[in-house]
Amino acid sequence: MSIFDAIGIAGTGVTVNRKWMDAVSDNLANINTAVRTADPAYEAKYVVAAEAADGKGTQVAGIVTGSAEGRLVYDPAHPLADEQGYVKYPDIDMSTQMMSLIMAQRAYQANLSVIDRSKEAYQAALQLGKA
Amino acid sequence: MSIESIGGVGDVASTLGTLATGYGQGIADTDNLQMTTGLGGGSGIGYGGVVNPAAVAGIAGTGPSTSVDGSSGTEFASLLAQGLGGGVDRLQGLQSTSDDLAVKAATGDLTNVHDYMIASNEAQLATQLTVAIRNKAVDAFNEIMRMQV
Repeated sequence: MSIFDAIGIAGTGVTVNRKWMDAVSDNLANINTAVRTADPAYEAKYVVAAEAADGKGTQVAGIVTGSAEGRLVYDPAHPLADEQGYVKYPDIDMSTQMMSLIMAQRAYQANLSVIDRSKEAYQAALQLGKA
Repeated sequence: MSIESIGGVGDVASTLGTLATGYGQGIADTDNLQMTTGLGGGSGIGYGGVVNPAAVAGIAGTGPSTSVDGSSGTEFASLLAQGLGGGVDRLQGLQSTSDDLAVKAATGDLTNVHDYMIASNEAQLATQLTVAIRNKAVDAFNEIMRMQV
């Protein structure tokens, strides 16, 4: 990565936002995953982005998980319900997740645009002097 | 910064040198630093001196024997080889990366879709750059060949 840095840097952004979308996808997929009240609920995943170690672009520093406490829902008909009729659902807010999804998607597209534009720019530079 | 008859050739050499330098530590790593140091003065593109034929392995001695402007000449083939020196290796690397990712895409091992597209685009750009440098050098060669002696 030396001459086409703009493309490589934007590529790291695409990767991070792809992982963000993966995390949101996982959270939404598990939003209705009920467990017994005694068991830990599904923990929402949050991507932590950080500047790349070499200073070129970004990287995923790690995944932080949310609370395992979940929220208790009264549903006596549920097969996993306890004696009081409660089951535990993960503490995930769907509208927040959808908002994150849109942000991740837009950032993904923005980084892809950078790749496209910088490629056009490099190609224009290669056409210099060719009438 | 003499713009004399041979100056145009030197300009091409300097251009190739700077391109190759940015092109993944091209000729800067070799012992031929003349072509890049010519630009160090901040005066744009410069006549960094004719490449020392001794620095060109294997083809030394095939350059014109008559010295122009007090410096010895060099051969275009070696000039081109040097200008593209680091670039060709870099191009090779980019293309093999792109090939590896293409295989991964075909076998289903590709984790990031964009990785392959980026690699193939970079390989394409590097190819275009290498071909552009080569064309410039060939143009310069043809220009010299057309010269009336």
